[in-house]
Parts: sequence; C-alpha cells; structure tokens
Amino acid sequence: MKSIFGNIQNLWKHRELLWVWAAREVRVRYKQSFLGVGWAILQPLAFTLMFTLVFSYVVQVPTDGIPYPIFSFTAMLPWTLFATSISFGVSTLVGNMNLVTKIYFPREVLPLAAIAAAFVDFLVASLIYVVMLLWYRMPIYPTVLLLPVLVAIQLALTIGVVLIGSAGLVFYRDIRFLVPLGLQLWLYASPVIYPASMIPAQWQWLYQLNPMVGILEGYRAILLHGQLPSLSSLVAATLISFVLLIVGYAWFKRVEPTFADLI
Amino acid sequence: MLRDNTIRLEQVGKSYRLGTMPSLRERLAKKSALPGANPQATNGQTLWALRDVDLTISPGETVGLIGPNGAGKTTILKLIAGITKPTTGTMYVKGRVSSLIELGAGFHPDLTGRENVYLNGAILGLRHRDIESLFDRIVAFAELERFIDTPVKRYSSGMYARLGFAVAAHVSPDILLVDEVLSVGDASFQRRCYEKVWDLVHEEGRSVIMVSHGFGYIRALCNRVVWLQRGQVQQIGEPDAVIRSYESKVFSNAALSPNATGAETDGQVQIVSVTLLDNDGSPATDYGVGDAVTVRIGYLCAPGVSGLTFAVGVMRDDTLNCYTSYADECGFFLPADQPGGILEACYAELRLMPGSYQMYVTALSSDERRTVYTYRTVGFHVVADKGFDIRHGSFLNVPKWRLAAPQEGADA
Repeated sequence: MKSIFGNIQNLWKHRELLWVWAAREVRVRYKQSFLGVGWAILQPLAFTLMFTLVFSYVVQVPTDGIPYPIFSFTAMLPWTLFATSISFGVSTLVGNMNLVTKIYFPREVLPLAAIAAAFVDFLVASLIYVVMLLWYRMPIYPTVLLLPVLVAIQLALTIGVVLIGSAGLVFYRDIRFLVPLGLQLWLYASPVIYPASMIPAQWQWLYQLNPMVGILEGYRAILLHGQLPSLSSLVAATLISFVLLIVGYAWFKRVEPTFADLI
Repeated sequence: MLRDNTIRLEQVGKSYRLGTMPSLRERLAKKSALPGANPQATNGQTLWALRDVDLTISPGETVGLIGPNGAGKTTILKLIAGITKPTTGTMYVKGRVSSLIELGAGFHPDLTGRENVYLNGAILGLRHRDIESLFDRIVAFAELERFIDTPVKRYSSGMYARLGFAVAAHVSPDILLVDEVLSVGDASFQRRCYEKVWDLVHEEGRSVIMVSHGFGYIRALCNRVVWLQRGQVQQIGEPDAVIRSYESKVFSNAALSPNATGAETDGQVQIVSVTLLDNDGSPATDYGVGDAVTVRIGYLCAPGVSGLTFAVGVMRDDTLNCYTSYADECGFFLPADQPGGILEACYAELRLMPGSYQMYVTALSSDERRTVYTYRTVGFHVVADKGFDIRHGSFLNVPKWRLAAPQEGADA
C-alpha cells in the first residue's frame, strides 16, 4: 500500500506529461482524418442506428417503454468509452517503444493518457446524447447527480483492465489479437443492446460478475427511469472494479522495470 | 557521506536474455510463474552487458565513457536514467536526470517542433509555464526559429539533434546524459553544445556523463574517463592517461610507437620505416602544442617506377583531416631512378590542439592520377597544455598582440 502511494505521488509529479500526452493522443488521432473529432460522435451513433434497425424493427427487444434509440445509446455511449480506452490503451506501451526504451517516466502515463483521450471523445459524443434526450422529450431526473459516481466506477474498471492489458502485451503479443475478440464478446455479455432483465434469473449471479452490467444498468436507472441503481449489482461492480484497479496497478509497477528490456 | 554523491553504482551488473521471449504457449506448457515474477529465469543464454561496475560521480563532475561498441556504455546511461534496472548490485541516483540517449527519442514525428518541446519538457518533469519561459532560449539555441511549427518528421537528422540537445540541456537537469548523438550536428553546433556542457558543469555545478568517440572533446571537457571493456571497467582516471591506454590497446602497440604500421605494399614501392622525431632529433610520440616534428621516411623503389612522390598528413582521432601536403606541390622532386633512401619532412610547428593524431605517409605517383603505391601511419599525441584545449578551436594559431593606437586621455 505504501509503495502504491509513492507511485501515485510520482505520477502526480508527472501530471503535466499526462495532459500533454493525452492532448497529443487526441490531436494525432484526428489530425489526418477527414472527419476529425466527428468520429467520436459517428461511431456510437452508427452502432445505435444499426441496433435500432435490428432490434426494434426486425426483433423486438423489451425496453420498458423507452424508445429503443435512447435506450441503447444510454449504454452505447459509456460502452464506447470503455472499448475505445481498452483498444487504444492496451497497445500504448508496445506502440511507443522508442520512448520506453530511451527515456524514463512513469510508464502508466501512456495507458492513462489513452484513457483520457477516449474520455474527451466521450464528452464530445455526450453532446449528441443531450440533443437526443431533448428530442425524445425525456424528463431530467434528480438521480442524474449520481452520474459522476458511476463514471468513477467505470473509470476504475477501465484503468485496471488497461494497465493489466498494456503490461501483458509487453510479455505476450497474443493479447493484441485477443483484445478485439474479447471486446466483442464483452459487448454481448453486457446490457448494451438489450436490458439486463432479459437474462434468465438462474443465470443472473454469473451475469452480475461482469462489472459492466451493474454500471450500464446504473446509467439507465438514473438517466431514463429516475431510479437509484440496484444496490447489489452496483456493489458487486464497484468491488470487482476497484480490486482490478489496485491489483492491476501493483502488478504494472512491479513488472515496469523490465519493459525497456523486453519491448 | 552519501549526500556528496550524485550517482553511485556498487557492483552493478545488468544481464540481457539472448534470443526471443518464451511465448505464451511455452509459458503455459511449462506452467511457469507470471511474467516478471522471476526475470532471471530463462532457458536461453544470458549476456552480461555490465558486470561488477563500481562508479561514483559527484556534482560538478564531467565523466566520459569510452570503449568499443558493445562495451556497455549506453547501458550505464540507461541505468542512470532509470530506463532499466540493474540485475545485480545497488545504485543510487540523486537529482533530475535529463538524457539524450538517442536521436529524436521522445519526439513524436507527427507533432510540430513546438509541440514536441512541450512534450519533452513534460517528460523531463517540467510544468507548462516553466517550459514557456525557456521556450525562446531553446529554439534560439537549436536555431530552428523558422521550422518550429513544422512537424518534426520533416526535420533533418541535424535538426533533430539540435532540438533534442537544446531541450535536454535547458531544462536545468542535475545530471545530463549525452550519448553519441551530437556528432550529427555541424561543427558550429557541436561547439555550442560543448560550451553549453562546459557551462552546466562549471557555472551551475551539474554532472554530465557523456559517451563519445571524439576523444578531443572528452579530453577537453571531462575530468575523469571510464574505459569500459566487455561490460567491465577497465580503467578509471585522468582523461589523458585512460584515453592513451585505450588507444594503445585498440590501435595495437605499434601505432603508438614512433615507428609506423601501414598497408601491405605491392612491392614496387616500399615504405620501410616512418619515424617521428622531436626537436632534438630523437624518436617521440608525445609533442607539445607548438613543437617541431620531423617525419623521417625510409623507402625503397623498384627500377622503372617513374614520377614517385610522397605526401604527409595529419589526421585527428575523429578523422578530421588537419593538413596534408604533397612533396611535389611543395616544389620537392625526387631524382629519377632513385632506388630508395631516407626522406625527411619537417614541420617547424605542429600547431595542433591536445589530442590523438595519426601521421599519414603516402607514396604515390606524381601524375594527375595520383595512384597510391603504399601508405603508412604512425600515431602520436599532442599533450595537454594549460590554456590550450579544444574549446579554443581545432588548431593553434597565436597572433601577436599590440595596442596599435592608444586613445588619448580626456585632458589631451
């Protein structure tokens, strides 16, 4: 625990680098693409559109009276943040080998900056979400104040997964191929395009082990229904997320000195 | 007692695994522990890049690392920079380290020079406003005012080196590590770099550790030199002494005797001997900056070779051609059908700065083709002399001073 505190202190000293690197990630990502930051909006929007066509016209998915587009976009938006963070964050150490082998700085800056950049995308895409809420004349509930709590839990989970994944990729390049597949499976194992209530009761205990279940259902509860999130799911998600974060960070720092030799 | 040391390495060793990492499949097959649990566990070969290195560096010291490729010079820099950790031994580094280990490391090719300055400053732990206040000085030092808003992928390697050094040297590091990257810049930039290093050490009391094959600069700037050989410290001490024993090892003993070594001759013309003689006419390898030197050349020439002439020249250890002169261009012609003899070329003054040099003697045809028959080289030193070092230039040329027209006093 003491060493974790020291590591965070050292990271804090390098916070300037974190911001500069995150800004760099955002700039480099959109600098030479035609749509620029528009991609941040287009990507979740396109998925939502596609799922709307499939799941409200072809197959009917129950949404508790919420229009399907807003139902799925409420979860698609944070899911995109999660997925983008992982797919960009995991490759940051290996992708910046010229930096890692030539200059010293706390290595977690690189994956964290990727997450920060994905968060910028998330904020931009959230503007569309606000427009959608107005368009569908959704009421604003006081439970929206819980939003930062849910985002914090989601970020803890994201950071844990990205730290483990990015350090793991240094040792096993197989992870590069595992990430897209894993994210695809994880998407279907999470209540993004369907509600969690569709999962049969006898499987709920297993289903709830996926921390994204508690988090995504939490977003729907506070934003679309004005209800508090289900306590048991939220506690499970919080525990798993923070354990992953702490274990992930500790392991990352333990193997960090070998990065420069292995990359 | 620890407080006085900026850097201390005790019995430091660093090993690398040769060959490839075991793959996930092999790991699973062997059911070995998680990666990182035991970095030494390997079934392959290990290479010790460094072994049992003891080194202590105090503030205000400039230490040069020399040695052949693969001796562990860069590994030491990487350990001090914290990029990698020692396998054995302990090390202690106090203060902020700024390193210039490879050209353009830390630069992102798609970002402009300006953005990269901020990025590099942030990597070295500086705040935005600190970098802002240093920005103009960095750009001016690198002489990149016109290109600072150009993406660095369009920079030449010299521009890369200039910007990299400018940032690394201006962030007021406690310890500056410079690998062999400055050789990319042009001569005037190199001079400014070495002046900057000089200031960091002597005005601000920082420590500088540099790797260089340009021994002239090491001699001028460093107060100690470490000679590494296969990962071990061969010798630590005064620059002049260490560089000399290193060179005598590398260039074989003959090169530093007053007698020459050289190319195999094709038999038509042979340079039998080349000897450097000092003012007293005795063979010597060490000279003062303004000493006279005589190059004595013994040669044999087969009958039928016509138009033979000789050239003598001096080359510094960093391959700078200091001067070369051809006997025939100096108005000296060998008699035709001369079967051989002893030639002498006398320099009244060497006019060289302290350093290691090679005297080249070449036998060649005096026609326009300048066909080389054979050549020989002999190494010599110009020894350090107070007041003369490489920061004052490459050559010695002392003007006569006088006050030509004194300004009359105000009352006149």
